[in-house]
Amino acid sequence: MPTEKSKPVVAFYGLTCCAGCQLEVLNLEEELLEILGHINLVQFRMGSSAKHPGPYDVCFVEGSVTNEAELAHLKELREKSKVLVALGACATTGGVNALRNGRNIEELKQSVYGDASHVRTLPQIQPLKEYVKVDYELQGCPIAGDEFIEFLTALLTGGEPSEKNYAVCVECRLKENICLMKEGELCLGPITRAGCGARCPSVGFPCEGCWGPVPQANVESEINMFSQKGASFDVVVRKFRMFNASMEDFMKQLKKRLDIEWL
Amino acid sequence: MTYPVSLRHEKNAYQYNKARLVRITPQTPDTNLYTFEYVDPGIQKQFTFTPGQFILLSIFGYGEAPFGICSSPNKTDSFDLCIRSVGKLTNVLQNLNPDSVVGFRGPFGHGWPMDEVKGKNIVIIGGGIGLVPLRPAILDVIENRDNYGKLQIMYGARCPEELLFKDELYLWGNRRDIEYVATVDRDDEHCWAGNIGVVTVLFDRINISPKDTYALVCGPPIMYKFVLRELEKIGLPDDRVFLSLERRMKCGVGHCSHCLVGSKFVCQDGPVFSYAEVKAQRGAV
Amino acid sequence: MGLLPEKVLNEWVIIMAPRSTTSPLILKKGDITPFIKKLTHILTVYGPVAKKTQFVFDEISEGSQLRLDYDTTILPPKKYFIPPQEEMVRFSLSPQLNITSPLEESEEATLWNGKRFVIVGIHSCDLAAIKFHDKILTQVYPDPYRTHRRERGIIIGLNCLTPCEESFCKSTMTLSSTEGADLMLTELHDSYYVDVLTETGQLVIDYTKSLFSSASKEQSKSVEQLLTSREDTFPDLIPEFEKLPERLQVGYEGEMWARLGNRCFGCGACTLVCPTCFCFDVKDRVELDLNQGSRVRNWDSCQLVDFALVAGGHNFRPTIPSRVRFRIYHKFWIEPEQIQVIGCVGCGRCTRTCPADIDMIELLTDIQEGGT
Repeated sequence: MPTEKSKPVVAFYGLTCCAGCQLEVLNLEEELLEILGHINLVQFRMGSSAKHPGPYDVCFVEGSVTNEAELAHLKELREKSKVLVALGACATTGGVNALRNGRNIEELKQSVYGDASHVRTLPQIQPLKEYVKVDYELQGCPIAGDEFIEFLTALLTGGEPSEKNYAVCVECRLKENICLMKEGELCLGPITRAGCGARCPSVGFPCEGCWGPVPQANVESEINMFSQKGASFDVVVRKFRMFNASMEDFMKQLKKRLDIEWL
Repeated sequence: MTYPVSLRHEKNAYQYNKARLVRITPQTPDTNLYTFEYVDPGIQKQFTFTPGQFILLSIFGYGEAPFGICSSPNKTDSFDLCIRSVGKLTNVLQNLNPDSVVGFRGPFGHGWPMDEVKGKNIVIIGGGIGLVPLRPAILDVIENRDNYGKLQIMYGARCPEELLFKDELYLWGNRRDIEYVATVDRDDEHCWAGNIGVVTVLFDRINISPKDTYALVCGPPIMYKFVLRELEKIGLPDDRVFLSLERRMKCGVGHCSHCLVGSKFVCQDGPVFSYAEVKAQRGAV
Repeated sequence: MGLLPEKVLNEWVIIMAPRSTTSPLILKKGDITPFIKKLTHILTVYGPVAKKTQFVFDEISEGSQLRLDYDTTILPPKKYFIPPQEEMVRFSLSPQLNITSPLEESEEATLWNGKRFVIVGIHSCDLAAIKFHDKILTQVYPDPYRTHRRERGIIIGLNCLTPCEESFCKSTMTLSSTEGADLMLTELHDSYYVDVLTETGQLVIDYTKSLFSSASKEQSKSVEQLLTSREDTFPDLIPEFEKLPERLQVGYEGEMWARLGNRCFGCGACTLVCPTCFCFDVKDRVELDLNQGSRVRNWDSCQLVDFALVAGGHNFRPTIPSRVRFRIYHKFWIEPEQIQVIGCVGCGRCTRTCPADIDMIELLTDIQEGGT
């Protein structure tokens, strides 16, 4: 057993998000005690109100940067951490926070807050890696517990965590799910990175793309397939933007095809 | 009709033999020479290989990868691998302590045609880390010098610091029975008095007679095209030019299909192929 | 457990030449349930079952689950011989490296104590694919993991009487494959007509004897007619199929690959559901105790971006078109070069599963017509 001193110091922080990814870590009830045997968890608001000033060996950051204060916080965490891990869709693709990208921010503020003069925001939501160096990303909304454990195990044994550079379709076939694209549904599975274990398609819901784009995502073909299935521009755009509004390649392809100014 | 029973085979290609890391000898900033010895002395004693064959190294928990064996085939007490740290496994490897135990499968595949080149002239062309699988062939020629004809070695590296086996290169350069020439792509530190440029510049520095001559070539994929063109100019027939190909490999025994080049498995039919064989396979070089 | 003597079970693996040992038999449809029940006493039984609107092979505990009227399944039965995930070894790292293999002969380690099994209702195309694997995976070294499972699986085949959508088994000449099956069933009115093809098959019959009766001459004749009539009812969708390897000789640099690449997602679904595909990747997994672990092989796909990537970053097939082309060449040119058999049995699963609606029949017809 490693001593408390030799264990890596681990912290969790949340920026703008629902904290669902940290909750997913807390949900690892069966494994949590064993995990705690290997790490010195100094900051985890789901489990303890204790605070720790750092430095950290590993710092998990969930959520998006929405304002200058959060940006400064992120930069500070980066400086204090040997390894910085972006946790979840908000941190890796901007997630649903990025839905406001491209929209008139003043109008949005007005409609949400009424008098919004005191609300300070950055104009765009970007993945954390656009602001600081991110060593690893764990995707998903929320992240998958088994991916978290696999990642942590690799890190603790000094190995390199492996990336799943393939689409959700792989996981669907292995689960022998009926292909929702074939059933006429609009499923982002073919262009979305695997890791969720085909979480949504396995219960009959088409993929919404929360793991972000798979490498070499054939966005053009996906748009074609959606159109063939009779989807309107509006529906296609909404589908693509749900979790990936900050993903340039997605938006570029959409813009090319659908000629929508604000994308 | 074959029946399941005929699938049985005494050879289990997935049998691991444990070996101990004896020492690590640094070669360049990112490349080390690793010396291993099988834990079971009986296995070590029986261990033989053909120059150019590869072996699969396992560090359990991190994975398995193929490496060309780098030591002399005549050395029996241990064997060497020369490995550049470029991936998961190799990064773990460079941090192993001596006496760490790893697993090996193999050796597998076809190496250099050492029997066929007996008594013939040999031109060895290595680019960068490509010198590694060629070294056992060079050492065998040196150790059994009378068995072979002329030995010419052409070696190119990116920069002087990346030259491997520097002590040996010096010795090769000073032997009368070896013609050795080297080049580097660039010399930013100005510490190199030799040739500058890619390995093909060496064709001007050396006189290769096509008669009774075999070429053994290993280097990065980009190198082959240019070297092959030069060898063709000299008039070396395709069946006397041998190449060692690199591909992704997982199983080493023709099951996983990662290393397919045309209809050939690099792991089983290669990694050494004659250019005549390779020419028929699309996308090989 | 053990109604069939252990000795007989053990003899399965040393059975030599297969041959038709008895004359054909009849199994009443109503007797399928007791037949399956009896088999479950000594074997794990797999067969086609319904999954919503489609079918999958799954474990059967009740004869009523079995859907011998299925068209095709999402994954082929190869999953029982080459599981999607399979432990190759287990290891512990400290106090010293200890490696154990499921191939070791000890009782508990034998493929981690895997049971003997029977798969009921494998169609001819999938039988042909099993034979294909028998051949391609034994070229130099046999794949010992698959061999182990193959020796422990009994196969009950089922003749197809109606063509299923997207399939082209008549062209691939796999429509009437029975090789590899121990028993072969043909649906005949309210019964199944049973050909006993191997001694293993005979053992199954002997074990469940009371359920079978001898087939009459008329029944044999009816079945023969049924099977021959398939020559008319099954269309030859890709004429001169056997000429594909030759025709692929031209067009390697053709534009059709780029066109296909524009549509293809590179998702690998086609290869995962393919009964002849067998590529795998190997990964080490360490458990949370950071000591125990296993080396696992997973189905891989040549369509995935990392497939031909080597350490250091060079990718030998870096684009979707280059990978699509590889898949076609592998099946229709490389495999025929290696073992003189085309690596496609015409089951049509790739077409049924492709999220980009790429149609294998169209694709192959293009090649046949010299399309580039």
